Amino acid sequence: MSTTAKVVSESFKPALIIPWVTIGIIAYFCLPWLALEYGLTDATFDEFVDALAWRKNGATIVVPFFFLMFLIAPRLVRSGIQCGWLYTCLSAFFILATFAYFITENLSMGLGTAVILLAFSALFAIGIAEIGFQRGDRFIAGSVIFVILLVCVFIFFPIWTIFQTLLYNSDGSFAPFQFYQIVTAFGVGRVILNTLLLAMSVGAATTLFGLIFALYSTRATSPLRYVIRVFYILPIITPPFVVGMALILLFGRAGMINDGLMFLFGPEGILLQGAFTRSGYIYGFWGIFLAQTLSLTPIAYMVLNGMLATINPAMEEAALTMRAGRWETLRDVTLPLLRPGIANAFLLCMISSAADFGNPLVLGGDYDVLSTEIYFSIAGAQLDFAKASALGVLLLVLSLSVFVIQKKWVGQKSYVTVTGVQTAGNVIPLPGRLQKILSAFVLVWLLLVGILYFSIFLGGFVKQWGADYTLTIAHHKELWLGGFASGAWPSFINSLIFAFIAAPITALIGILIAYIISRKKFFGKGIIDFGTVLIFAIPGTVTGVAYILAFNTPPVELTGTAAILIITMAIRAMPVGIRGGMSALSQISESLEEASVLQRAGSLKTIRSVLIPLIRSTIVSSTAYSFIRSMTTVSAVIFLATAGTNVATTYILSRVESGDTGIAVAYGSILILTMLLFTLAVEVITGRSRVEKQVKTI
Amino acid sequence: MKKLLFVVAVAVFLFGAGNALAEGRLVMYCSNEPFACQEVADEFAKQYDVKVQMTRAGSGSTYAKILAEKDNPKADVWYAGTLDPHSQAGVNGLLESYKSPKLEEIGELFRNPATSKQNHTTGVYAGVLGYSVNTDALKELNLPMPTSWDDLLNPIYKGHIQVANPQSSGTAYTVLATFVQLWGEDEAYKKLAALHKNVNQYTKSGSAPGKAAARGETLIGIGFLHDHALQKANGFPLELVVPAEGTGYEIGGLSIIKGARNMDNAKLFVDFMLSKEGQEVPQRVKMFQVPTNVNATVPKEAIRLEDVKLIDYDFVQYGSEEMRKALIDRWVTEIKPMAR
Amino acid sequence: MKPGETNITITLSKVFKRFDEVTALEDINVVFEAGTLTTLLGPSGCGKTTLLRIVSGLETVSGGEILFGNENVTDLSATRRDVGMVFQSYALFPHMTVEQNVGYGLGVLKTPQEKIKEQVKVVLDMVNLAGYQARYPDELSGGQQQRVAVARALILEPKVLLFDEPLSNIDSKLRRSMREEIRHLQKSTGITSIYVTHDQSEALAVSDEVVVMKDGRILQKGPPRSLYHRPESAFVANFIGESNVVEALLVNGTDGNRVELGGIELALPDSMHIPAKPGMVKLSLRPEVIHIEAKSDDKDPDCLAGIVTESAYMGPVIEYSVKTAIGDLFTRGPAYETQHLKGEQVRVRVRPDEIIVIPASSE
Repeated sequence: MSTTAKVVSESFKPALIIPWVTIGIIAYFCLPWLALEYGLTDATFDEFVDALAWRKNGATIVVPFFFLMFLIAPRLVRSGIQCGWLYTCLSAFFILATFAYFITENLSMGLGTAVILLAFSALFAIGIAEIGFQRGDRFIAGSVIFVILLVCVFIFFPIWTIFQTLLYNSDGSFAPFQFYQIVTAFGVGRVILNTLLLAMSVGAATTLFGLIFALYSTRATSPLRYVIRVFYILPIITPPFVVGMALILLFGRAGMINDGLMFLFGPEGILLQGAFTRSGYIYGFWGIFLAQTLSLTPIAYMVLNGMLATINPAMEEAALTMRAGRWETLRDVTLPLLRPGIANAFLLCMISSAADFGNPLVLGGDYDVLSTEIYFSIAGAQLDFAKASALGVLLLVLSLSVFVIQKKWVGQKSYVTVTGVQTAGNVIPLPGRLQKILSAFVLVWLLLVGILYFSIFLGGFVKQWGADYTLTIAHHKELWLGGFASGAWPSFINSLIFAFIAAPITALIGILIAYIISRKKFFGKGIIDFGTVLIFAIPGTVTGVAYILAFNTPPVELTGTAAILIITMAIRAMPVGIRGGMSALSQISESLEEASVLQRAGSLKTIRSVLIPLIRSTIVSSTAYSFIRSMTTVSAVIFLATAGTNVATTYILSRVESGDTGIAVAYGSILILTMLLFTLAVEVITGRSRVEKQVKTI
Repeated sequence: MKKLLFVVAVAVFLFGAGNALAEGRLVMYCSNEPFACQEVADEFAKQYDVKVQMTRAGSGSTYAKILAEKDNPKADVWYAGTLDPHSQAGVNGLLESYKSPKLEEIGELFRNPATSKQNHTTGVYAGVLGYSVNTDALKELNLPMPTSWDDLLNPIYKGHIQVANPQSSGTAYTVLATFVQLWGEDEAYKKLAALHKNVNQYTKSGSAPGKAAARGETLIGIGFLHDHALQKANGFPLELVVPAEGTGYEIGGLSIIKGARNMDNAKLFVDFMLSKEGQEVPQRVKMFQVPTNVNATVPKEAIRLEDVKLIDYDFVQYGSEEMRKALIDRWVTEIKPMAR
Repeated sequence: MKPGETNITITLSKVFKRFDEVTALEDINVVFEAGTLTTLLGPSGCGKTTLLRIVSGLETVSGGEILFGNENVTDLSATRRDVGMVFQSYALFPHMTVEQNVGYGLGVLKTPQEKIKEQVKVVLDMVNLAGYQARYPDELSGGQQQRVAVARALILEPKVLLFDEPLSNIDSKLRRSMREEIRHLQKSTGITSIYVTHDQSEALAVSDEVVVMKDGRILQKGPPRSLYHRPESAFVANFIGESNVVEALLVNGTDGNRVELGGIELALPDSMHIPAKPGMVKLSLRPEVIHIEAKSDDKDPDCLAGIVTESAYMGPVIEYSVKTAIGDLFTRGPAYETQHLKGEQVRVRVRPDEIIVIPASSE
């Protein structure tokens, strides 16, 4: 940044800092400076008051002194730039000193500290904006600082603790070869191969099926395509292990299909006695493969569908006019245009498969994959944090490299179609024969999904699946009719509250990150880029391990709090937000924003008035999807949920653990139903906006 | 941004608003099943008007947590979970010695089982190792009912037995240790090799084989029988078998953390959990471990210690890290890679 | 919006721009006079759009200074520079009506609603779009969208008006009338304007001054006429209008300057400005300087012999390509004359008073 002394941003007003100083001072007086021993919710009034900043020796004078400095700073200097430097130095010094204080004193920060630090970060942003960062655009400067902070605290720091765990023995001595010893240990190689094989197969299968569904729903003329819209959402709103459980209910050794075949062909069957004996073929590779394919295909579908909807029909029409048949058009125009989408879908599903934890947990059998191995390194009898960290690093490196390879490939291609130039055209229907084949495929798929879900819902109403099929409402009664303090309610309410807080945060920060990444250039952007890559690549189990390692000790002690779950949910769902933002922004020509900027609108106003209305449907859908994801996530929260912060999924899983299949399935089915109603409600409320309609038709 | 931040701050603040004052506190780390933990915490809170804060985690992670908090203990008491980590904590000086007045009601075996032998830990329940057989599947397959460990080695059960992987499961390690204590190490590994041929799957979790047997996913599941008793109580067609040669068992530990901030309540809690009524609390949520208080009612679903042949399980020797590592490593390199 | 009220001079000095490793602009020193419309003309990739964006503030400079009048705006963001811009793609907000699009900037400045309505009406009248307030961009034709974009750029009465290839998405008939309108609007408002195009005829038609750019550098700047008649390089000669660039020997004799080409000698008028020393030079021969005649037996020392290689009837004129000793020459003849056919042997006459000698230093 050039810092020519002549340039003083004329709009600089010291009043800008007032809101942040106010927030800081409120936090100073009303929020705990130190973490409360028994948590914010459980602290007594005395404990609360005792933890306030103005009662602490260190903070009593220092904090107000700094705020005072900010207020008088404009009077001490002659130009905005000098004031900016002063602000920058003051706030940077305060932030570093605070961290140094908490680390050396081995104290845990309270909520008040967090708010005060946030206020100082904002002041820091105002300072550097004044110096000339982002050409004085305070909103962008603030956003950049906020995102960097976020990435450092919740991504880099936890991952660093994983490496720290690997570099040191449990007794604290330096052990540089620990990682090597662990990964070369007997059996680890097979686990890696298993993970890779599964991820590749699932990635390929889901992308193919997702493509089929996407083509079908946008290009088919059959009425079946409307049904897809309802059915594709099902696996998304289902906690992953519930799909696995349903598969056991269906295909397991004592499942419906085995039972049916036994009834027909078993030793006492009514047909061909003895021609069939039970087998447990669902466990292992094929079980996980099936469950993951079922759960992840909708993700591939959504990626490809979004891509397909934005292809300018004129291109397809152009192909048709060049004597290409519908087949050739599909093969030579549509599919190549979809290539970035296909790569994205493959990438997403491959990483999701490698990171998936619920299905291998339920269906894995002897087929060990990294995510379950990580979990059992900590949750089982081994309690080997070093092993969990080592495997976590492997899994992270695996998904990171997949991600980077894909990004390189996809990154070179950008097909901007919304430029502000209005286009028109009609969608080209699928070739007739292809449509018939796809119809059959879709029908079989929908049937399978239908039976799967039917068995989940039925499972909640029978006494014991596999043993006693008497109909009963006992499970639901235990879950829902025992008052709000028992049964499913506490965990359900927790889930709702956490996800409700996490979802909008996810969507907004996701779009903000997408905006910064795709639209802004500045020194230090690499941090955000790399952080984002990690957010995308880091599997849930690794997040879980890292957070347990990082946030269990001062200065940031969060384990056992609701905050850590909300943060985890938000970070876990962040890729949804970023991806949504990225794809939406890539569809919008930058000149629209530039036009707004030239109309004197600042970046905040531009985002609000131009970008947000144009990507509103993306915001709504990524908020909704983040909410659903937060409600159904397992892999990371299972490490972090405690008795007081149990969420729906961890509760269900613990009932599965203790063998209450009926209860688990009953709860699962209600959860699914809730999510379904939620999704439908969102669809109805948002409706089809003008812009969306427009974007859909071009 | 500002608005959002404000809303979050207010929300979090309101969260913390409703503070109730209780008669003292107790911070409890619990390594039992979540429902048992909750039930015990609620019951204690109700009876003594103490505000109980409970964190549930596996015994291994709880041990690590206590170790990490050595200088500034957060928890007061550690309830349940297998004995070995409790022993380890005792040896490492993380626990408070405490002789509860209720100790005389506790079975001899369970009064001071931990390695340190300094009353750091008391046995709060026992779990017997064994296996269960799905009777429906047995009938369908037309196989005889096994009654001993040796029966399981019979090739007729090929592909019908499920047991956990000792790498990930303490339960499975107990199986290893029991075999070794029954027959000596080399003989035990021969038998484990024979068992391996019959195993259809090594599960991650120790309780999984019992569940699989209950649902008919496997014919026989090896594990702690109280897990299986729960399945049976849930209505599955299971027959619980305590092997005729004798079998190993686990002890659930109960310890006070050294430097506990609520020491009086911690002691009160230990007294309560060792008392007859305290030990009967988990039964309400279908936890069928054997109570160690001789006066406590043994649930009808649970195994009665006096009815079965237990080996003289050496918790000190087989609880040590070296032994554990040696046995598991031998199993991983010798048994696991074998063809089935 | 009266002429001359807001006009300022724009000065760029030593401006350069690098994107990573690629240099997009190199040592740009140029003054855009107050109240004029200057065109940045050049082939695609020459840096003209980058230069425009640097003036707008949408792009930062890697070095150098930009002055609006006396104010250094180098480090000012686009928001604060007070420029209006018409984008190639128009960049109309698809979710806003015409009125909202045009009034957007006023809204940003917190102008009261009635005032916005009023002013929008005034500008829409100016661009002949009265009554279109409630339409959405997708309900307008390309030309109408263009007018909306112009109206939006005008409404805040900016110090500087920028056009980024504004006519490239419009069909050619409409283009002519649109460029007249733009020219008219610029003149009537008197706002200093910069106009980017790659179409030389558009540049000649609308501009007070033309800046020809190539490979990130400015080759020549001047009024259309001087660029046409005094190109300082072969590139400019070729790019502005049509030109036949040939090599010739410049001789400075006692009787004045002569050029020898293809075996003939042509005396240059004394009044002609010769920016080169005697020796081999490059000449630019515009098509209108070259006349072809039917071949006759009597030898004319002032004529080159040639063969027609192409001959196309274009309505008012006939276009020829003639192969001569100095290379292929392109020229036109009036359609009322007999058309010389392909393969026909002709005489080529060059009018010496309109020959352009290209400065020696140029490429």
